[in-house]
Amino acid sequence: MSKWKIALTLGLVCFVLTIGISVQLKTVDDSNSTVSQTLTNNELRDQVLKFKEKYDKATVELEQSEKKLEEIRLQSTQNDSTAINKEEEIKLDNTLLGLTDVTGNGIVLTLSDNGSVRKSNIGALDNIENYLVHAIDLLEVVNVLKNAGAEAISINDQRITNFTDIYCAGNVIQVNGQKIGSPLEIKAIGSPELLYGSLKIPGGYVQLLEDTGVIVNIRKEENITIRKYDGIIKSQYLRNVN
Amino acid sequence: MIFIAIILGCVIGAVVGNYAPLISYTYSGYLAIAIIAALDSVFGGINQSLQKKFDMAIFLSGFFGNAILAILLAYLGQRLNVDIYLVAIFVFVTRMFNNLAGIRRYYLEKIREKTHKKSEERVNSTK
Amino acid sequence: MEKGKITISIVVFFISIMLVSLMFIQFRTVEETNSLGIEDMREDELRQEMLLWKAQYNDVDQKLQANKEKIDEYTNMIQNNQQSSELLDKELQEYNMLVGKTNVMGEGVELTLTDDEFLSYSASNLISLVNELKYAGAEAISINGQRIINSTDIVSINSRYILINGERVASPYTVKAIGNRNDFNTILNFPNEGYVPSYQKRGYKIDMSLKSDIRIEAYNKEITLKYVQEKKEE
Repeated sequence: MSKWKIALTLGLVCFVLTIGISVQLKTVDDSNSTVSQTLTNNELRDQVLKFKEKYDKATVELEQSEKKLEEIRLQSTQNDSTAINKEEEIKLDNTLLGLTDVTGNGIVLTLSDNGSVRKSNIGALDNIENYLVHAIDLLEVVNVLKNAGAEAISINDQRITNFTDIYCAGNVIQVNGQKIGSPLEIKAIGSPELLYGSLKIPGGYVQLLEDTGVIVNIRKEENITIRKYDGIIKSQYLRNVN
Repeated sequence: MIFIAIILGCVIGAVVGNYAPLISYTYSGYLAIAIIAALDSVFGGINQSLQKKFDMAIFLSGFFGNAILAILLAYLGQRLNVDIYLVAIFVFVTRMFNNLAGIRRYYLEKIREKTHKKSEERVNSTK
Repeated sequence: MEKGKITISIVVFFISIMLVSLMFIQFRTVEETNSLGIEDMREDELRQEMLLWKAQYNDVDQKLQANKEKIDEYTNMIQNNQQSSELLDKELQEYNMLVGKTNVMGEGVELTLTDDEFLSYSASNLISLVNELKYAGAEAISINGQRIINSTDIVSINSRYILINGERVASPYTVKAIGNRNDFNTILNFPNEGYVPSYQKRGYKIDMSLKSDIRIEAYNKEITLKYVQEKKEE
């Protein structure tokens, strides 16, 4: 085979190949195929990761700035005798808002879905819903704990603040907008006896839950640590008036 | 000396990697393939140096060339809707196993030689 | 021979730095991806997740900027030897406002819940209303003048009276909340499922009106903590 023949065949083959590739590229781009879907999904994943990373960084910076603010506040008001009280009150407010990690004695209450009950072995008149923990149950339990004087409460490490909502989102419960699932560990700091007693009270909400089939476990504990609320508490619509 | 260089490099690399920014999800797939390709070259390099056939140019070109080629192929595959990266991983991992086998064989032979020599010495001394 | 070995060492050194650092970056990316669970998410879920993180980032960033401004202000005061008590007062006011120790005003919603001879509201009904309001982004809530703060409990005494903050309140219950009016409207009035329509359907008397300016009274008792201690950093 002479040289130009080889060149010609190679050229032709390359020509066909290029056409094939470009046609394929165009089809993939145009069609709503799995490929282009993966591409957009990957871009979304990129953005999720990007914002997560930015968030993580900003959170660390924020913590540092909080500390710095406290220091500089102290420094700038050294000569002011009333300032100490005000600083103490800011600290107290921070704790009341749930923005600090706190420790103290209290109780740990665990509520779990009853996993042994299934559609197949449940009685005809029974309802499987009774064996699950719902958002409304958590609201009631939190209210019971507040009634007994709980000073800090968290559910699966989500701090209950004055802005916390507990919501049912499909099959999961959301606290502070974060999904949590069974088993639910509710920590509360306050008088252990009062908290324990109020939960154990005959005919109380927790006993009701236990009777319907939810697995309940209450124990007093010393030096419980309750994590602070991770998010930001801010107001857009409030203004102070006399 | 080479050994020290390797360990030092690994430690510094680990530190740098821990503080470097994350790369985006799309590229992390390509990076994974590049890492596999580079690892393959490294094992190849170790194997060659044991066989006294180490060539810096071949090693370096293989290290970068394979990584880049793997990324390009994976990208082409992504665009063409063929999972080329699977094949690339297959090839690189197969070669890695071959190279590891070479390294293993080398050391096994060395150990065998040593024990052989020792037993010979023993035979000689008892004579 | 020796020279060759040195070049090899140097090259190997840089190669291992590169390889290992890339590997660690990859490890971290994969770890993050797994921890977020975004590998198996569908497009809409991913979109939601993205918006969520974006919103959280924006929140944190805003707070961060605010803190930086405050720090700057304090630094200025220190440099100029000025009294900074005003600044401190301002900060304290902000915190007190969020806790609920001050009277506040703002746009929001006012609901009136009235018992009749057949149906009366229980504490649980009010608890879930408060929760709905918080879900809708309420920044301040009160029921019959009782400010809802974080430690507020709502319990029934009997079918006529309810205790809020240890004070007796009775029908009609006037629930006020400050926040975004549109959000209140869409969430509370959501067809069938929302609080207002679902209670009306069951026969309860409930009225809702959106207001451009509502006044909510402060929590009027002292708030003290007896059992909680701030966790010291180790």
